Amino acid sequence: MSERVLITGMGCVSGLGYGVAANWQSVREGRSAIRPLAPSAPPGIAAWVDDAAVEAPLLKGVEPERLRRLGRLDRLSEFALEAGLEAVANAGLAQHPSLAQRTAIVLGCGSGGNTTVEIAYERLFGQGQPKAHPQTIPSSMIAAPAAHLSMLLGVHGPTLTLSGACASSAQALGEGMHMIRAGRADIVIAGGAEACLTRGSLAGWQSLGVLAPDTCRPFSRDRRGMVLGEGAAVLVLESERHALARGATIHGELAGYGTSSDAAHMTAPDVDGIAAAIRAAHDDAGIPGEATALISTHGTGTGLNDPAETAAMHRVYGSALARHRAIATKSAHGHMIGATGAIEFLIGMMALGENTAPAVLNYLGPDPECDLPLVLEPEVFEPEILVSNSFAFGGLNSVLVGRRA
Amino acid sequence: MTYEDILALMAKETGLPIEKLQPDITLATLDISSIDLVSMLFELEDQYGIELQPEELTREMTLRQLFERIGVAVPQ
Repeated sequence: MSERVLITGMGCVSGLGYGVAANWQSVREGRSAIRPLAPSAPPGIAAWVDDAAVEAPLLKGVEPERLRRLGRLDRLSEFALEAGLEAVANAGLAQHPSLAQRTAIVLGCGSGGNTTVEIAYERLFGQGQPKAHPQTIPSSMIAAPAAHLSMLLGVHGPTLTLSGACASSAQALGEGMHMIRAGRADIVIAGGAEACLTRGSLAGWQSLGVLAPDTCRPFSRDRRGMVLGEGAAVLVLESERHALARGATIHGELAGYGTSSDAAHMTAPDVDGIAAAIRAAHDDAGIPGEATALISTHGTGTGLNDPAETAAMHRVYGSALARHRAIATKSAHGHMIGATGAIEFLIGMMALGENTAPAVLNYLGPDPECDLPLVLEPEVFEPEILVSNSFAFGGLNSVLVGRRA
Repeated sequence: MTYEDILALMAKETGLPIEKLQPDITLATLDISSIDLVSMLFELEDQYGIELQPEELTREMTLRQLFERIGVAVPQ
Protein backbone atom coordinates (compact mmCIF):
# COMPACT_ATOMS: atom_id res chain seq x y z
CA MET A 1 0.00 0.00 0.00
CA SER A 2 1.50 3.32 -1.02
CA GLU A 3 1.88 6.19 1.37
CA ARG A 4 -1.10 8.46 2.07
CA VAL A 5 -0.93 11.96 0.62
CA LEU A 6 -2.12 14.61 3.05
CA ILE A 7 -3.17 18.21 2.52
CA THR A 8 -1.26 20.46 4.90
CA GLY A 9 -1.67 23.88 3.34
CA MET A 10 -4.17 25.79 1.23
CA GLY A 11 -4.26 29.20 -0.44
CA CYS A 12 -6.46 30.88 -3.03
CA VAL A 13 -7.58 34.07 -4.69
CA SER A 14 -10.73 34.53 -6.74
CA GLY A 15 -13.35 37.15 -7.47
CA LEU A 16 -14.67 36.33 -3.99
CA GLY A 17 -11.51 37.76 -2.44
CA TYR A 18 -8.03 36.96 -1.22
CA GLY A 19 -7.42 33.95 0.99
CA VAL A 20 -9.12 30.69 1.90
CA ALA A 21 -11.05 32.20 4.82
CA ALA A 22 -12.67 34.95 2.69
CA ASN A 23 -13.46 32.57 -0.15
CA TRP A 24 -14.97 29.88 2.06
CA GLN A 25 -17.02 32.40 4.02
CA SER A 26 -18.44 33.85 0.79
CA VAL A 27 -19.31 30.43 -0.61
CA ARG A 28 -20.86 29.29 2.67
CA GLU A 29 -22.98 32.43 2.86
CA GLY A 30 -24.10 32.16 -0.75
CA ARG A 31 -22.35 35.21 -2.16
CA SER A 32 -21.33 35.33 -5.81
CA ALA A 33 -18.50 37.30 -7.40
CA ILE A 34 -20.27 37.41 -10.77
CA ARG A 35 -20.92 41.03 -11.75
CA PRO A 36 -20.44 43.42 -14.66
CA LEU A 37 -16.81 43.92 -15.64
CA ALA A 38 -15.20 47.23 -14.69
CA PRO A 39 -15.88 50.08 -17.13
CA SER A 40 -12.34 49.94 -18.57
CA ALA A 41 -12.87 46.29 -19.60
CA PRO A 42 -15.02 45.10 -22.51
CA PRO A 43 -18.75 44.86 -21.77
CA GLY A 44 -19.87 41.64 -20.12
CA ILE A 45 -20.03 39.83 -16.81
CA ALA A 46 -17.39 37.80 -14.99
CA ALA A 47 -16.22 36.86 -11.51
CA TRP A 48 -13.24 39.20 -11.53
CA VAL A 49 -10.60 40.05 -8.94
CA ASP A 50 -10.77 43.71 -7.98
CA ASP A 51 -7.05 44.22 -7.40
CA ALA A 52 -7.40 47.95 -7.93
CA ALA A 53 -9.42 48.08 -4.70
CA VAL A 54 -7.41 45.53 -2.69
CA GLU A 55 -3.81 44.59 -3.43
CA ALA A 56 -2.64 41.01 -3.07
CA PRO A 57 -1.80 41.07 0.65
CA LEU A 58 0.98 38.47 0.79
CA LEU A 59 2.69 39.36 -2.48
CA LYS A 60 2.63 43.02 -1.48
CA GLY A 61 4.50 42.08 1.71
CA VAL A 62 7.43 40.40 -0.08
CA GLU A 63 10.63 42.45 0.04
CA PRO A 64 11.26 44.00 -3.41
CA GLU A 65 14.77 42.51 -3.53
CA ARG A 66 13.29 38.98 -3.45
CA LEU A 67 10.93 39.83 -6.31
CA ARG A 68 13.57 41.45 -8.49
CA ARG A 69 14.87 38.27 -10.08
CA LEU A 70 11.38 37.26 -11.13
CA GLY A 71 11.14 40.05 -13.68
CA ARG A 72 7.83 41.44 -14.84
CA LEU A 73 4.89 39.56 -13.41
CA ASP A 74 1.80 39.00 -15.48
CA ARG A 75 -1.49 38.98 -13.55
CA LEU A 76 -1.36 35.18 -13.98
CA SER A 77 1.85 34.90 -11.96
CA GLU A 78 0.60 37.37 -9.36
CA PHE A 79 -2.39 35.14 -8.67
CA ALA A 80 -0.24 32.00 -8.51
CA LEU A 81 2.29 33.62 -6.17
CA GLU A 82 -0.39 34.99 -3.85
CA ALA A 83 -2.09 31.60 -3.52
CA GLY A 84 1.25 29.79 -3.26
CA LEU A 85 2.54 32.05 -0.51
CA GLU A 86 -0.67 31.56 1.46
CA ALA A 87 -0.58 27.78 1.06
CA VAL A 88 3.05 27.47 2.11
CA ALA A 89 2.57 29.79 5.10
CA ASN A 90 -0.60 27.91 6.05
CA ALA A 91 1.40 24.67 5.95
CA GLY A 92 4.04 26.15 8.25
CA LEU A 93 6.64 25.54 5.55
CA ALA A 94 7.91 29.07 4.87
CA GLN A 95 11.75 28.89 4.98
CA HIS A 96 11.52 25.16 5.78
CA PRO A 97 14.64 23.21 4.69
CA SER A 98 12.52 20.61 2.88
CA LEU A 99 11.48 23.21 0.30
CA ALA A 100 14.97 23.19 -1.17
CA GLN A 101 15.34 19.41 -1.34
CA ARG A 102 12.37 17.11 -1.56
CA THR A 103 9.72 19.49 -2.83
CA ALA A 104 8.12 19.76 -6.27
CA ILE A 105 5.79 22.28 -7.85
CA VAL A 106 3.04 21.28 -10.27
CA LEU A 107 0.79 24.07 -11.51
CA GLY A 108 -2.01 23.90 -14.04
CA CYS A 109 -2.80 26.78 -16.40
CA GLY A 110 -5.22 26.80 -19.28
CA SER A 111 -3.39 29.65 -20.98
CA GLY A 112 -0.37 31.85 -20.34
CA GLY A 113 -0.12 35.52 -19.47
CA ASN A 114 -2.91 36.91 -21.63
CA THR A 115 -2.45 40.51 -20.46
CA THR A 116 1.21 40.57 -21.45
CA VAL A 117 0.58 38.97 -24.84
CA GLU A 118 -2.30 41.29 -25.66
CA ILE A 119 -0.36 44.42 -24.73
CA ALA A 120 2.38 43.30 -27.11
CA TYR A 121 -0.10 42.47 -29.89
CA GLU A 122 -1.90 45.79 -29.44
CA ARG A 123 1.43 47.57 -29.97
CA LEU A 124 2.40 45.49 -32.98
CA PHE A 125 -0.91 44.98 -34.77
CA GLY A 126 -3.03 47.82 -33.39
CA GLN A 127 -0.52 50.63 -33.28
CA GLY A 128 1.86 49.38 -35.95
CA GLN A 129 4.85 49.72 -33.66
CA PRO A 130 7.93 47.64 -34.48
CA LYS A 131 8.88 46.42 -30.99
CA ALA A 132 7.32 44.63 -28.05
CA HIS A 133 8.53 44.82 -24.47
CA PRO A 134 11.67 42.66 -23.98
CA GLN A 135 10.01 40.68 -21.19
CA THR A 136 6.97 39.73 -23.26
CA ILE A 137 8.10 36.12 -23.73
CA PRO A 138 9.38 35.27 -20.21
CA SER A 139 6.47 37.05 -18.51
CA SER A 140 3.76 35.42 -20.58
CA MET A 141 5.06 31.88 -20.99
CA ILE A 142 2.71 29.31 -19.53
CA ALA A 143 5.54 27.93 -17.37
CA ALA A 144 6.17 31.33 -15.77
CA PRO A 145 3.88 30.96 -12.72
CA ALA A 146 5.50 27.69 -11.63
CA ALA A 147 8.99 29.06 -12.27
CA HIS A 148 8.18 32.25 -10.35
CA LEU A 149 6.88 30.24 -7.41
CA SER A 150 9.99 28.07 -7.37
CA MET A 151 12.23 31.18 -7.31
CA LEU A 152 10.27 32.89 -4.58
CA LEU A 153 10.10 29.81 -2.34
CA GLY A 154 13.55 28.39 -3.10
CA VAL A 155 12.16 25.14 -4.46
CA HIS A 156 14.84 23.26 -6.44
CA GLY A 157 12.88 20.08 -7.22
CA PRO A 158 10.78 19.23 -10.27
CA THR A 159 8.83 22.33 -11.32
CA LEU A 160 6.19 21.39 -13.83
CA THR A 161 3.33 23.09 -15.65
CA LEU A 162 0.40 21.04 -16.86
CA SER A 163 -2.06 22.41 -19.32
CA GLY A 164 -5.31 20.52 -19.68
CA ALA A 165 -7.69 23.42 -20.26
CA CYS A 166 -10.41 23.44 -17.59
CA ALA A 167 -9.01 20.31 -15.94
CA SER A 168 -5.44 21.67 -15.64
CA SER A 169 -5.26 22.17 -11.90
CA ALA A 170 -7.16 18.97 -11.10
CA GLN A 171 -4.53 17.19 -13.19
CA ALA A 172 -1.80 19.09 -11.31
CA LEU A 173 -3.15 17.92 -7.95
CA GLY A 174 -3.61 14.36 -9.14
CA GLU A 175 -0.21 14.04 -10.77
CA GLY A 176 1.35 15.75 -7.74
CA MET A 177 -0.26 13.12 -5.52
CA HIS A 178 1.32 10.41 -7.66
CA MET A 179 4.76 12.05 -7.36
CA ILE A 180 4.53 11.64 -3.60
CA ARG A 181 3.21 8.08 -3.85
CA ALA A 182 6.09 7.26 -6.19
CA GLY A 183 8.62 8.63 -3.73
CA ARG A 184 9.77 11.43 -6.04
CA ALA A 185 8.98 14.16 -3.49
CA ASP A 186 7.92 14.58 0.12
CA ILE A 187 6.03 17.79 -0.62
CA VAL A 188 4.26 18.90 -3.79
CA ILE A 189 2.96 22.44 -4.08
CA ALA A 190 0.14 21.93 -6.55
CA GLY A 191 -2.76 23.87 -7.98
CA GLY A 192 -3.41 26.25 -10.79
CA ALA A 193 -3.95 29.80 -11.98
CA GLU A 194 -5.75 31.65 -14.75
CA ALA A 195 -6.00 35.31 -15.76
CA CYS A 196 -8.14 35.25 -18.87
CA LEU A 197 -10.42 38.29 -18.50
CA THR A 198 -8.63 40.24 -21.19
CA ARG A 199 -10.15 41.73 -24.31
CA GLY A 200 -8.80 39.15 -26.72
CA SER A 201 -9.49 36.15 -24.51
CA LEU A 202 -13.01 37.37 -23.70
CA ALA A 203 -13.72 37.93 -27.39
CA GLY A 204 -12.66 34.35 -28.12
CA TRP A 205 -14.92 32.97 -25.41
CA GLN A 206 -17.81 35.14 -26.54
CA SER A 207 -17.41 33.90 -30.10
CA LEU A 208 -17.70 30.32 -28.90
CA GLY A 209 -21.23 31.11 -27.79
CA VAL A 210 -20.88 29.47 -24.38
CA LEU A 211 -20.97 32.57 -22.15
CA ALA A 212 -24.19 33.39 -20.30
CA PRO A 213 -25.45 36.95 -20.67
CA ASP A 214 -27.17 36.88 -17.25
CA THR A 215 -25.35 34.67 -14.74
CA CYS A 216 -24.17 31.11 -14.07
CA ARG A 217 -27.09 28.74 -13.24
CA PRO A 218 -25.67 25.20 -12.93
CA PHE A 219 -28.15 22.38 -13.58
CA SER A 220 -31.04 24.86 -13.68
CA ARG A 221 -33.77 25.21 -16.25
CA ASP A 222 -33.23 28.27 -18.45
CA ARG A 223 -29.49 28.20 -17.83
CA ARG A 224 -27.73 30.13 -20.54
CA GLY A 225 -24.08 29.23 -20.23
CA MET A 226 -20.93 29.68 -18.22
CA VAL A 227 -19.42 32.79 -16.67
CA LEU A 228 -15.66 33.24 -16.63
CA GLY A 229 -13.69 33.86 -13.47
CA GLU A 230 -10.01 34.31 -12.65
CA GLY A 231 -7.57 33.67 -9.84
CA ALA A 232 -5.56 30.80 -8.40
CA ALA A 233 -5.70 28.00 -5.88
CA VAL A 234 -2.68 26.16 -4.50
CA LEU A 235 -2.52 23.27 -2.05
CA VAL A 236 0.42 21.77 -0.22
CA LEU A 237 0.41 18.00 -0.63
CA GLU A 238 2.67 16.12 1.71
CA SER A 239 3.60 12.53 2.41
CA GLU A 240 2.05 11.27 5.63
CA ARG A 241 5.48 10.42 6.99
CA HIS A 242 6.88 13.92 6.38
CA ALA A 243 3.77 15.66 7.67
CA LEU A 244 3.61 13.62 10.87
CA ALA A 245 7.34 13.96 11.52
CA ARG A 246 7.11 17.72 11.59
CA GLY A 247 3.79 17.85 13.42
CA ALA A 248 1.94 19.53 10.56
CA THR A 249 -1.73 20.50 10.79
CA ILE A 250 -3.66 18.15 8.51
CA HIS A 251 -6.57 19.54 6.47
CA GLY A 252 -7.42 16.23 4.85
CA GLU A 253 -6.22 13.62 2.42
CA LEU A 254 -6.07 13.55 -1.36
CA ALA A 255 -7.08 9.93 -1.64
CA GLY A 256 -7.76 9.35 -5.31
CA TYR A 257 -7.38 10.65 -8.83
CA GLY A 258 -8.94 9.48 -12.04
CA THR A 259 -8.31 10.94 -15.43
CA SER A 260 -9.47 10.04 -18.91
CA SER A 261 -9.66 11.39 -22.43
CA ASP A 262 -12.93 11.16 -24.38
CA ALA A 263 -10.98 10.90 -27.63
CA ALA A 264 -14.22 11.97 -29.22
CA HIS A 265 -14.83 15.68 -29.76
CA MET A 266 -13.02 18.95 -29.09
CA THR A 267 -15.83 20.73 -27.22
CA ALA A 268 -18.81 18.38 -26.78
CA PRO A 269 -18.74 16.40 -23.51
CA ASP A 270 -18.88 12.62 -23.63
CA VAL A 271 -20.75 10.65 -20.97
CA ASP A 272 -18.54 7.56 -21.31
CA GLY A 273 -15.33 9.55 -20.82
CA ILE A 274 -16.69 11.43 -17.81
CA ALA A 275 -17.97 8.23 -16.20
CA ALA A 276 -14.59 6.56 -16.79
CA ALA A 277 -12.77 9.32 -14.93
CA ILE A 278 -15.18 9.22 -11.96
CA ARG A 279 -14.87 5.43 -11.73
CA ALA A 280 -11.08 5.63 -12.00
CA ALA A 281 -10.94 8.13 -9.13
CA HIS A 282 -12.99 5.85 -6.87
CA ASP A 283 -10.88 2.84 -7.85
CA ASP A 284 -7.67 4.74 -7.18
CA ALA A 285 -8.92 5.76 -3.73
CA GLY A 286 -10.21 2.26 -3.04
CA ILE A 287 -13.55 3.78 -2.08
CA PRO A 288 -16.81 2.40 -3.55
CA GLY A 289 -19.44 4.59 -5.16
CA GLU A 290 -21.80 3.77 -2.29
CA ALA A 291 -19.73 5.82 0.19
CA THR A 292 -21.69 9.01 0.86
CA ALA A 293 -20.11 11.79 -1.14
CA LEU A 294 -20.22 15.53 -1.40
CA ILE A 295 -19.84 15.91 -5.16
CA SER A 296 -18.32 19.18 -6.27
CA THR A 297 -19.59 19.05 -9.82
CA HIS A 298 -17.95 20.59 -12.85
CA GLY A 299 -21.37 22.31 -13.23
CA THR A 300 -20.57 25.00 -15.76
CA GLY A 301 -24.17 25.98 -16.46
CA THR A 302 -23.88 25.30 -20.19
CA GLY A 303 -26.58 23.52 -22.15
CA LEU A 304 -24.39 20.51 -22.93
CA ASN A 305 -22.14 20.02 -19.90
CA ASP A 306 -24.73 19.75 -17.18
CA PRO A 307 -26.87 16.94 -18.72
CA ALA A 308 -23.75 14.97 -19.73
CA GLU A 309 -22.31 15.25 -16.21
CA THR A 310 -25.69 14.26 -14.74
CA ALA A 311 -25.95 11.21 -17.01
CA ALA A 312 -22.40 10.14 -16.15
CA MET A 313 -23.13 10.34 -12.42
CA HIS A 314 -26.31 8.27 -12.79
CA ARG A 315 -24.32 5.71 -14.72
CA VAL A 316 -21.56 5.49 -12.10
CA TYR A 317 -23.56 5.74 -8.89
CA GLY A 318 -26.95 4.31 -9.87
CA SER A 319 -29.38 4.32 -6.95
CA ALA A 320 -26.58 5.37 -4.55
CA LEU A 321 -26.61 8.85 -6.13
CA ALA A 322 -29.65 9.77 -4.00
CA ARG A 323 -27.59 9.62 -0.81
CA HIS A 324 -24.91 11.97 -2.20
CA ARG A 325 -25.18 15.75 -2.47
CA ALA A 326 -24.13 17.83 -5.49
CA ILE A 327 -22.76 21.36 -5.25
CA ALA A 328 -21.66 23.72 -8.04
CA THR A 329 -19.47 26.56 -6.82
CA LYS A 330 -18.84 28.05 -10.26
CA SER A 331 -22.08 29.89 -9.51
CA ALA A 332 -20.01 31.78 -6.90
CA HIS A 333 -16.44 32.08 -8.25
CA GLY A 334 -17.13 31.65 -11.95
CA HIS A 335 -15.30 29.30 -14.28
CA MET A 336 -11.66 29.84 -13.37
CA ILE A 337 -10.44 27.63 -16.24
CA GLY A 338 -6.91 26.48 -15.29
CA ALA A 339 -7.52 27.30 -11.62
CA THR A 340 -11.01 25.92 -11.34
CA GLY A 341 -10.28 22.29 -10.49
CA ALA A 342 -8.03 23.31 -7.61
CA ILE A 343 -10.31 25.95 -6.11
CA GLU A 344 -13.30 23.62 -6.32
CA PHE A 345 -11.35 20.84 -4.60
CA LEU A 346 -10.16 23.33 -1.97
CA ILE A 347 -13.67 24.64 -1.27
CA GLY A 348 -14.97 21.08 -1.27
CA MET A 349 -12.40 20.12 1.38
CA MET A 350 -13.51 23.08 3.51
CA ALA A 351 -17.12 21.93 3.13
CA LEU A 352 -16.13 18.36 4.02
CA GLY A 353 -14.21 19.55 7.07
CA GLU A 354 -17.13 21.62 8.35
CA ASN A 355 -19.90 19.22 7.26
CA THR A 356 -21.58 22.10 5.44
CA ALA A 357 -22.77 21.83 1.86
CA PRO A 358 -23.00 25.28 0.24
CA ALA A 359 -25.94 26.08 -2.02
CA VAL A 360 -25.95 26.11 -5.81
CA LEU A 361 -26.72 29.75 -6.62
CA ASN A 362 -29.03 31.29 -9.22
CA TYR A 363 -31.20 28.18 -9.56
CA LEU A 364 -34.53 28.82 -11.29
CA GLY A 365 -36.05 25.35 -11.16
CA PRO A 366 -35.46 21.75 -12.25
CA ASP A 367 -34.39 20.60 -15.68
CA PRO A 368 -35.45 16.95 -16.19
CA GLU A 369 -32.08 16.27 -17.84
CA CYS A 370 -30.25 17.47 -14.73
CA ASP A 371 -31.84 15.29 -12.08
CA LEU A 372 -29.29 15.45 -9.26
CA PRO A 373 -29.45 15.68 -5.46
CA LEU A 374 -28.57 19.37 -5.67
CA VAL A 375 -27.96 21.47 -2.60
CA LEU A 376 -30.28 24.43 -3.07
CA GLU A 377 -30.11 25.74 0.49
CA PRO A 378 -26.99 25.39 2.65
CA GLU A 379 -27.32 22.18 4.61
CA VAL A 380 -25.56 20.17 7.25
CA PHE A 381 -24.22 17.11 5.47
CA GLU A 382 -21.68 14.63 6.81
CA PRO A 383 -20.39 12.67 3.84
CA GLU A 384 -17.57 10.16 3.96
CA ILE A 385 -15.73 11.71 1.00
CA LEU A 386 -15.46 14.59 -1.42
CA VAL A 387 -15.56 13.92 -5.17
CA SER A 388 -14.44 16.90 -7.27
CA ASN A 389 -15.16 16.77 -11.00
CA SER A 390 -13.30 18.68 -13.72
CA PHE A 391 -13.99 18.25 -17.43
CA ALA A 392 -12.25 20.18 -20.15
CA PHE A 393 -12.28 21.06 -23.80
CA GLY A 394 -10.34 18.45 -25.68
CA GLY A 395 -12.37 15.80 -23.81
CA LEU A 396 -9.95 15.84 -20.87
CA ASN A 397 -11.54 14.64 -17.64
CA SER A 398 -10.04 14.63 -14.17
CA VAL A 399 -11.70 13.67 -10.92
CA LEU A 400 -10.25 13.97 -7.42
CA VAL A 401 -11.35 12.20 -4.24
CA GLY A 402 -10.72 13.85 -0.90
CA ARG A 403 -11.18 12.48 2.59
CA ARG A 404 -10.90 13.80 6.13
CA ALA A 405 -7.49 13.09 7.61
CA MET B 1 11.17 64.46 -19.05
CA THR B 2 12.73 65.15 -15.66
CA TYR B 3 15.41 63.48 -13.58
CA GLU B 4 12.64 62.10 -11.37
CA ASP B 5 10.80 60.63 -14.39
CA ILE B 6 13.88 58.71 -15.50
CA LEU B 7 14.67 57.61 -11.97
CA ALA B 8 11.14 56.23 -11.57
CA LEU B 9 11.42 54.41 -14.92
CA MET B 10 14.76 52.86 -13.88
CA ALA B 11 13.35 51.75 -10.53
CA LYS B 12 10.34 50.16 -12.19
CA GLU B 13 12.30 48.31 -14.85
CA THR B 14 15.09 47.08 -12.57
CA GLY B 15 13.02 46.38 -9.46
CA LEU B 16 15.49 48.43 -7.41
CA PRO B 17 14.32 50.91 -4.75
CA ILE B 18 14.78 54.53 -5.85
CA GLU B 19 17.02 55.31 -2.87
CA LYS B 20 19.58 52.83 -4.21
CA LEU B 21 19.82 54.69 -7.51
CA GLN B 22 22.50 57.19 -6.41
CA PRO B 23 24.28 59.21 -9.16
CA ASP B 24 27.78 57.86 -8.53
CA ILE B 25 26.92 54.19 -8.30
CA THR B 26 28.00 52.00 -11.22
CA LEU B 27 25.75 49.66 -13.18
CA ALA B 28 27.96 46.77 -11.99
CA THR B 29 27.35 47.64 -8.34
CA LEU B 30 23.61 47.78 -8.92
CA ASP B 31 23.76 44.21 -10.27
CA ILE B 32 21.16 44.83 -12.96
CA SER B 33 20.53 41.80 -15.14
CA SER B 34 20.87 42.14 -18.88
CA ILE B 35 17.15 41.68 -19.47
CA ASP B 36 16.36 44.46 -16.99
CA LEU B 37 18.81 46.74 -18.81
CA VAL B 38 17.21 45.92 -22.15
CA SER B 39 13.78 46.55 -20.62
CA MET B 40 14.98 49.92 -19.35
CA LEU B 41 16.28 50.89 -22.78
CA PHE B 42 13.00 49.79 -24.35
CA GLU B 43 10.97 52.01 -22.02
CA LEU B 44 13.34 54.97 -22.48
CA GLU B 45 12.82 54.76 -26.20
CA ASP B 46 9.11 54.04 -25.96
CA GLN B 47 8.23 56.76 -23.48
CA TYR B 48 10.79 59.46 -24.28
CA GLY B 49 12.18 58.61 -27.70
CA ILE B 50 15.68 58.16 -26.27
CA GLU B 51 17.59 55.69 -28.40
CA LEU B 52 20.46 53.92 -26.66
CA GLN B 53 22.20 50.77 -27.81
CA PRO B 54 22.91 48.10 -25.18
CA GLU B 55 26.64 48.21 -26.05
CA GLU B 56 26.76 51.86 -24.98
CA LEU B 57 26.19 50.75 -21.40
CA THR B 58 29.29 49.41 -19.70
CA ARG B 59 29.57 47.85 -16.29
CA GLU B 60 31.77 50.74 -15.14
CA MET B 61 29.27 53.39 -16.21
CA THR B 62 27.79 55.44 -13.36
CA LEU B 63 24.19 56.58 -13.28
CA ARG B 64 25.48 60.16 -13.58
CA GLN B 65 27.16 59.25 -16.86
CA LEU B 66 24.02 57.51 -18.02
CA PHE B 67 21.94 60.59 -17.23
CA GLU B 68 24.45 62.76 -19.13
CA ARG B 69 24.14 60.45 -22.12
CA ILE B 70 20.35 60.73 -21.95
CA GLY B 71 20.62 64.48 -21.61
CA VAL B 72 19.03 64.92 -18.20
CA ALA B 73 20.74 66.99 -15.54
CA VAL B 74 21.39 65.36 -12.18
CA PRO B 75 20.32 67.80 -9.45
CA GLN B 76 23.13 68.97 -7.19
